[in-house]
This record gives sequence, structure tokens and C-alpha cells, in this order.
Amino acid sequence: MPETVKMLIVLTLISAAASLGLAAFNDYTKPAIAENERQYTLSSIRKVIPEAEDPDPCTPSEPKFENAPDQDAVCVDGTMVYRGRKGGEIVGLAFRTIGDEAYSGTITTLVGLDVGGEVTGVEIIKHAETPGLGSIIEDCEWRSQLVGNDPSSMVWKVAKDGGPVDQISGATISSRSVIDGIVDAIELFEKKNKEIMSAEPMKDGEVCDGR
Amino acid sequence: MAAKTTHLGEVVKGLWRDNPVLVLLLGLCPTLAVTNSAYNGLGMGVATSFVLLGSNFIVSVMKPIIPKSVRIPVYIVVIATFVTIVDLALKAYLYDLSRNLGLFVPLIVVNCIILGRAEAFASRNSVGRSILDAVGMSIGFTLTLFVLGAIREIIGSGTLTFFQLGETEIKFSLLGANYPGVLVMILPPGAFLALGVMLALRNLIQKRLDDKSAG
Repeated sequence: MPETVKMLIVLTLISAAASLGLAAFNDYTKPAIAENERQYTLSSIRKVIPEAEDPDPCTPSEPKFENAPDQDAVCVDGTMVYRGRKGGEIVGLAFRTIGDEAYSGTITTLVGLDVGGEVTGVEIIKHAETPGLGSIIEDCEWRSQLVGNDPSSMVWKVAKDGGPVDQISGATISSRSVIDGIVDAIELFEKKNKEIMSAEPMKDGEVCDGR
Repeated sequence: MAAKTTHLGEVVKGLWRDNPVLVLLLGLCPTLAVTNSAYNGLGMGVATSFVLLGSNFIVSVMKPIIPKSVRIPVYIVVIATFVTIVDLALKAYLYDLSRNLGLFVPLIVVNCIILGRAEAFASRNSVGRSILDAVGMSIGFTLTLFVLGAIREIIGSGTLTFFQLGETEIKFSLLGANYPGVLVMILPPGAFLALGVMLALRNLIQKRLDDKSAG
């Protein structure tokens, strides 16, 4: 048998065997992986829509809702909004927003708002900021100042820009990006309130741009 | 050289004489990138070990039928298959670890330890010896990453993490809750500093041993 033909046969067989094995293993792990990702999303939503009267990121609280908000999401202007309900009524919303370009890429946050527009929680979903510096945005102590402010009087700016939020020293740009994500959520809440509160939930398999 | 090594020697060489990180200096990218805690180092080591064992085994079994001219593509397909299995398994069963290691799991494909052992060892030795070689290299790699991760985590954050899955964790606070931490050790430069010290120590000990056996 000429060398070239042998080469072709061997490579084809090996690739076929590898694909077959991987396809089978992918099918086998798919449900577990989907469940892990779902639980991860749900655990973040639980944190940003807490039961507590005076919410604080450092104090864990039971979630305020009784439904599964990840099954009751709407896509508004490319932003995923999860709706938490109790007795059928919407009691809290979680917005998946992406803030301005920070030190290293954008920062994805999950911002919880109650029906009055007050921020009830902020979770950092994805970021690539410097560990120990920009990554302080993950610390609940820093995030607690973002939660529970009066929505009518709150100015969403860091101290450096004349606002009330203490920026992380050495990481102002990361702090600003998180605030930008919160402002995006509040603006969307005010502008598209009706759509967010009453739109039909997304169906399984539908995707939202900002996701 | 390999023909005269004993079976035990095949395993032990990966730990000290031919340690993949400290002597061969292979696979430094994941070594430096993920070792910011002991658990991450351990996880990366175990993931890499699985791929190394699998690929050394398959390559040594298949060596009679692999044409010389396409051996590297074949190795890469075999390695990539095992890496994808590890990646999927981590996502399915150790979700937190897979989030911590991130892109470095898929990047095991291009870890030169694995291709290096396939080309330099498994393609020339028997199945048994190839497995022993993989076991030794794996233990050497995992242990080195664990120690490197432990040094960085203890100095950098004052803790030592062995395991973490959701709420379950085996984590020790060694230097107290008030330990301020040494940020640089968690950052990439800390990896170079710690690895440099480990290399120097390894060479120093080796030199002592050589001196002793010589005189």
C-alpha cells in the first residue's frame, strides 16, 4: 500500500474514532453542564433580589421570589431581564448589564431592582480586572454602598466625579464601569417599564444579545 | 538511556531528575498562570495528568500503525480528544474549578509536556514503560504546581485551599484573618518569583547531592 493512502486511512480512522467518542461524551455530560450553568445564574439572581428589608450584599438573605426567574426572563433592547414573582406579582427584577470598557475588557453585572427602582443587589458576573486591585469590585464591602439608596435622590457617580460612591483607590475605572452597568439597568427600567413588566417570557433556546 | 532504567526509575525520574517543570522547564504557561492558589494548581495538575496518561497510552499502543510523516497530527488529535473530555467533565462535575481554570483547560492541548512525552517517549517505548513515564511526569507536574500554588497562596493571601465545590471547601487560614496579604504573589510576577526560588533550591540540593556522591 502506498504511504499516502495509508496516511489518509489512518488519519481518517483516528479522527472518526475521536469524533465519535467526543460526541457520545458530550451527550452524556450535556444535562449536567446545563444544570450547573442554570444553578449558577439562579444563585446570582437570588442574591440580587433578596427578601431582606434592608438588603446588604454581605448579609445573605432568602430570595424574595417564589418562581424560577430564569424561566421568566424577557429580552429588552438586548438586555436580559429576569423577573422574580411572588404570588404571580413581580417583586423584583435582575438585569444582566455590561458596563463601559474597564481596565481589562468590560464588566458584566447582574443588577437587582425592586418595583420602585431601588437597587437591591449588584453581583459581578464576569470581569478580567487585576486581581487584588480592580477585583475589589467583587468584595461585598465595596458593593454594599451601591445597594439600598433612595432611587429619587441617588447620584450614580464616584467621588472623583463628584458623586457619593467611594471609588476603589487605584481602580477608579473599574468602579466607574460597575456604576455604568447599574445606570444602564435603571435607565432601561424607567424607559421600558411597561415592556419589562408585561412582555411574554422568552422561550427555551431563544438568545438575547447582551447575554 | 531509557532502556537501562528500572521500572521504578521510570516513575521516579519525573519527580526529581527529569521533573517536567523544574528541570525540563516545559509547560510553563499554565504553570505560571493558574497557580495563584494550591487548589487551582492541584486541579490543573490532575487535569493535565489525565491527558498525559491517556495520550501516552494511546500513542504507544498505536505506534506501529502511525505513519511517521503524519505522527504529529495524530498526536494532536489524540491529545485534543482527551483535553475535550477533561474540559467537559470539569464543567459537569467540578463547575467552580472549571470557572477558575477557565481557558487554561482547553490550552492543555498545546502544553508541550504532553506532546513532548508523546514524541520523545511514548512513540519509542513499550506501552508499560510509557504509562510509567506518564505516571512519573504527572506526579512531578502536579506536585510542583501544588507546591508553587501553595507558596503563592500562603504568602499572598495567608490561606491554603485543598478543595472547593460550591459551599464545601477544605481551606485553612494559616496566617490569621488579619493577614494583609502580599498582592504581588497572587499576580503573575509572583509566579516567576516563586518558581525562580524553587528552581534555585532544586539546583542547590542537586549540587549538594552531586558533591556528596563525587567526593
